[in-house]
Amino acid sequence: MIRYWIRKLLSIIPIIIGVNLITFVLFFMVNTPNDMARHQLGEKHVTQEAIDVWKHEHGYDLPLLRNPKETGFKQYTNTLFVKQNLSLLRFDFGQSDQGRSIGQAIATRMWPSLALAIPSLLIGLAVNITLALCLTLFHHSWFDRFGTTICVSLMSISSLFYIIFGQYVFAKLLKWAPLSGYESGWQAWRFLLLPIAIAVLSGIGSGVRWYRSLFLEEISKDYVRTARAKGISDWRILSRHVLPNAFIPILTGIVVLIPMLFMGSLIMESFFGIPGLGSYTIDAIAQQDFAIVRSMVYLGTLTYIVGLLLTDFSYALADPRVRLAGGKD
Amino acid sequence: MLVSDYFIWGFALLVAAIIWRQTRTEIGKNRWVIISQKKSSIIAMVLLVFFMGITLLDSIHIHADSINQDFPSLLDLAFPKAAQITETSYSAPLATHSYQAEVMLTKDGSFQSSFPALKITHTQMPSLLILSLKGIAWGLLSFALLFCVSLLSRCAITRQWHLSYSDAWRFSALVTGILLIIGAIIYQIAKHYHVLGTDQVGQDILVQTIKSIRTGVIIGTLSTLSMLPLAVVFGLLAGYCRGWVDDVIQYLYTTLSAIPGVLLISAGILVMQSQLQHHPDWFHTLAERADIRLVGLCLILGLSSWANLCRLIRAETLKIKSLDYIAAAQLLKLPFWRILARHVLPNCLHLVLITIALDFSGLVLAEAVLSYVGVGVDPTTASWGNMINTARLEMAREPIVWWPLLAAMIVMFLLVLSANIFSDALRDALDPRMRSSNLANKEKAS
Amino acid sequence: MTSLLNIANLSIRFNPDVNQTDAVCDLDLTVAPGECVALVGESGSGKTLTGLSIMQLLPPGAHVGTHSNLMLNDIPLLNLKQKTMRSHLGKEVAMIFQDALSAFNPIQTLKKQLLEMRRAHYRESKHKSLRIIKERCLEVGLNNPDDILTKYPHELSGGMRQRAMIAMALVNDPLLLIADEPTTALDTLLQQQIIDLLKQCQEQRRCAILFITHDFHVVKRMANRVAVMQHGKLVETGNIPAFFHTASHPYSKHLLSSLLTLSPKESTDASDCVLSAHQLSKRFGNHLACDSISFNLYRSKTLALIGESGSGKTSVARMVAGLSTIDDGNMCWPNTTPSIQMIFQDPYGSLNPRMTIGHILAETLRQHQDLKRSLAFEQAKQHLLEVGLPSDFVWRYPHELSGGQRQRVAIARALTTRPDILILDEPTSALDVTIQKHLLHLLKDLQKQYHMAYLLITHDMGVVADMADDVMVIRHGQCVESNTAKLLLTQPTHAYTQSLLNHAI
Repeated sequence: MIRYWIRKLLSIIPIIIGVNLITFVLFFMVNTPNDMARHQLGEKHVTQEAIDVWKHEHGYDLPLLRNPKETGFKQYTNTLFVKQNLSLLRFDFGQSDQGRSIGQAIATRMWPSLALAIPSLLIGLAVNITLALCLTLFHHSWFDRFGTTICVSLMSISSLFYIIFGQYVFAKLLKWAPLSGYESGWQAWRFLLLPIAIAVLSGIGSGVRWYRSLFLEEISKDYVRTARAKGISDWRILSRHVLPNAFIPILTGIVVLIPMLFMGSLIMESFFGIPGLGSYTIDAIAQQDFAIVRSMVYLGTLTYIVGLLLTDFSYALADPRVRLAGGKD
Repeated sequence: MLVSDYFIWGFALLVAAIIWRQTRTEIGKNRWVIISQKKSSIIAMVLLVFFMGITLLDSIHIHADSINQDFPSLLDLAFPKAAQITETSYSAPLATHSYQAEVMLTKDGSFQSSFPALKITHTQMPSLLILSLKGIAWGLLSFALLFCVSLLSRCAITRQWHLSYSDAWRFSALVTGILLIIGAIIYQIAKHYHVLGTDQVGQDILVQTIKSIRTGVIIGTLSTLSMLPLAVVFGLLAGYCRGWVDDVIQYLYTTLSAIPGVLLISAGILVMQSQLQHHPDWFHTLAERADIRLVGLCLILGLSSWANLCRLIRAETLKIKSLDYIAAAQLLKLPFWRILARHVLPNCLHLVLITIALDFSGLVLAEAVLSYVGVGVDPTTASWGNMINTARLEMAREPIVWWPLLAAMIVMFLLVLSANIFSDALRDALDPRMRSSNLANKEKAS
Repeated sequence: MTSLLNIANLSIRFNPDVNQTDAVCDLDLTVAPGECVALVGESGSGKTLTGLSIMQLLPPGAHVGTHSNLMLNDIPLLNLKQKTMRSHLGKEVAMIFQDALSAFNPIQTLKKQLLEMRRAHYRESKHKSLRIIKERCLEVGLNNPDDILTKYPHELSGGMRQRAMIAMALVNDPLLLIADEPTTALDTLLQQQIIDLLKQCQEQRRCAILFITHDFHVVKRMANRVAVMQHGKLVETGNIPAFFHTASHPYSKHLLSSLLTLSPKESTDASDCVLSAHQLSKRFGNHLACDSISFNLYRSKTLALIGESGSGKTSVARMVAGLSTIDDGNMCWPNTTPSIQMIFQDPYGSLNPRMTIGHILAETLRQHQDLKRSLAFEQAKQHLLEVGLPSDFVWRYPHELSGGQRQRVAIARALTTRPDILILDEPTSALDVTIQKHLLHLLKDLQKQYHMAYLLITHDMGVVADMADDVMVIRHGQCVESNTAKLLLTQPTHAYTQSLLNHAI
């Protein structure tokens, strides 16, 4: 069992290196360090000296992948790529191209993102699963057909519409919640109410359908027929037999959402003015600030990988067939 | 003709060919029966055919005069002249006067704030009722024409004179008729009014919305098409060959999935933009430039999302590989590529079709979001994303301007809903799991 | 004597219906208290549906006709309210299913699942419930109830799992036990044990059993009475053992005549060796699947490898075919390299569902003989006629064919390369009894015609007697006994062989 986990952890390292390499190459295809310096310095006519000074300050004067000045192994290690990667591994994000500390920005902006994402995820999960269970209970009845039609319709509406409509009706017309903005500390709940509600609402359509299909698949399995042959009520069958078994595939669905925890829902944060990591990234893309983008991609990759590991781990916890066989192969 | 025109026409012909081949085989006919069992899927299919028809009509571009850089399509020429009249600014749907008050000089020389009349209006404005009746008449006429044409062509092909139509065909004829009537009514009204009002620069919203259909459909189809070769080839190889090939491909798609999608797409778009800036000789008009940007966006969207389909095909290939007919093919010493192409791939196709249908709606919705982030289509291209983006700011105006947003939302909703319902029906018809599980129940049960 | 179970006019119809006939039509059946009635039929006869309808467990889309009547102990079972029906299920009538692994909830311990059966019907202390389920476990032969109950279903062996399912069915002392092919998925020896266990339950508890099966060997052992079904209709009933001699309905007689006996076939002349296998071994991880198996294959002769599942016989077959690597040992042949083909067990997985029969056959023809497409199609038609199928099957798809017809296509496909050796991996175990006989007959004819050597993998002694010239008995990967068929069937030397023979009689 331990060997399996060690192998898994080792296989992650090439992924992190691969991701960083791809981001590195992609971004420097768009912008060479010279262009970046020009963009940040802002003026029309900048001298080559000013560019060189800026590059040196931000560490962009090293060659990208291969340093011809050095010999042997150092050819590859004394390059921009390696230096940046090493500092990332130490969680030293350095400074943004504009001169501000990225690490600090992440530390402060992390909390609003989490405060928005975690309740949305948990409440959404609870609402979706309950509704899906109800629909499954009344399978083959008009209630189920009606419910699935509504789900398909809800799913076909763009999330932008939910946000705009929600903001207009609840914030502008009814004035039940503030339109946008944020306040740190415990007062934040006022500003989070509307975004969380809208996030949950826009996810109901696809979420309920997905969970319903999972439950229906479980219901067609043989052990449900055995349970019926025992004379147990339908509700008990759903809650004691179907739901625990369905949790195993549900876990895969959840892991996809975990990277959202850190990246934040980019759109939500933008529309509601919540100073989280998502809006941080969007602004960085707009300003073409590579240092921030690099750090956010690294963070996003880490959370994705953590999510993958967590799925495997929770599979082992939830499914005794996996647990006793010593890990999935 | 623009670049994307060739793509979308090629796609439409491919789909038509696939459907034609399907109707020849017994299995194919069964599938159509299953798909057309529910009324909702028939409505969805008819709507999709309409949307596709509008897209194709909008994809035949005629080279116009280069004086005013105009590049109209057949659809542009089909619009009534009145719809192309540009007002000064906002106007509500079916209005005769401008939405905003302007200060105007009255007859007696004083300044007064009032609502000026729209350019489209003139003294004799026909009533909406008469226009609707005219529309119904035209609609019925065009439906009758279409019906005769299809009847004659079917007679010619099958060489029978006595034809029976199933319930499904009758219902789809009914739906087509209703849609034609609605279309004719709107057309008649559009000759005299701005049916959906105008936007900030005075352009007719109806025209914009309908032109955006092409953008949405192209993004939905082209992106999935561009991801197919990579996903299918890699998925098949990974599942069949195992060993180091499998490891490498798995590494590739895990790495790609780990990078947040928005960033990949943004990077791709920015690269493309800088390439376009450096090569102005690739295109001659603004329209062509915007079009290349659209095609580029589709390719990038496809290239960044092949991981999901690849994973599915790999899993399916693994399952198929353990089946006996593959072992039999190996025993018969069939070459490796032939086994993959003739034995494995056709049994994975259902996954491909289902993914195409499912992703279609997701991509259409994603386009709106991407425009918001700034990496969507060119601002000069008509698209729902652009409409929603500009509309967002208009919600804050007093009095509120709601019609551009609602128009974009409703038409986009119709397209996405039809695609979702159709892909559901397709999945029911194609997924052998569902069918084989029903069969297995029947076999077990007896 | 009043009957315990009284089925009158039972009709079951599927909606929407593809075939436009009832799946079960006007069935009348009674089961007396303490009696074991075997419900026999081939696939499609409706026997499982009948069993399920008693428990109201019909699959979605199946409806019982309005004139049907089901009475259990004078309680009408149809048209009951849900709650009342549920109070009878698991208490007066219980069911055991074919596949014990999928019938249990995989993520719950056995203790939880057995307790659930008890506590669904009785309100008592948990202590008492636990005591009762332990008693039942001991009764079915699970000798460590404390240990076994803490385990998950997949941790037990197949035989123990089936016993656990029987224990679960017996928890509430039911009056009627419905057994839906409980032994079909088990090995020969295990089958015997489970049958003995069920017989013991019937006698000691005076519990009636409705035994649904297609295997007449089981009927002979278990049942007091037998009811034969064909295409949803009850064709004949009779008492055991008289039925085997006095069956009058043509279908019953047809079924009985298709049963294979243990009389060995006539010996054939000696012929040359095509393949020699020496000390073949195969290892999967730490597990030795087969250990030093040696044999010779001769032209026009059949070597049968008989053993239970997991004995390693399939590994041997795959090694000979070249589908698996040989870990130890080797194969050699005196002349040119023999061409080897294989017929697989599952007729539903052996043909590509997306290709027509003609394409499947033409593909191999073109591969080996470089023919033009039209010529290959013509030859394909010839091959179909050879295996007894009409030539217009070339246009059909596999799903339009029955299991037996698909096996014939598989045989035709193998024959296109004129193999020297044909490996038959349980070719008839998934088919009905009547089809089995025809297929074996076809294989023997083809062997005479093309002088092929057959390597027959099976678990059924009847098939061995029908086909084989030489037999090798395999157990846990090792050869236990090897002899000519004549000698092995009449004078077996090893105890294991004897027990295999005992079951087949």
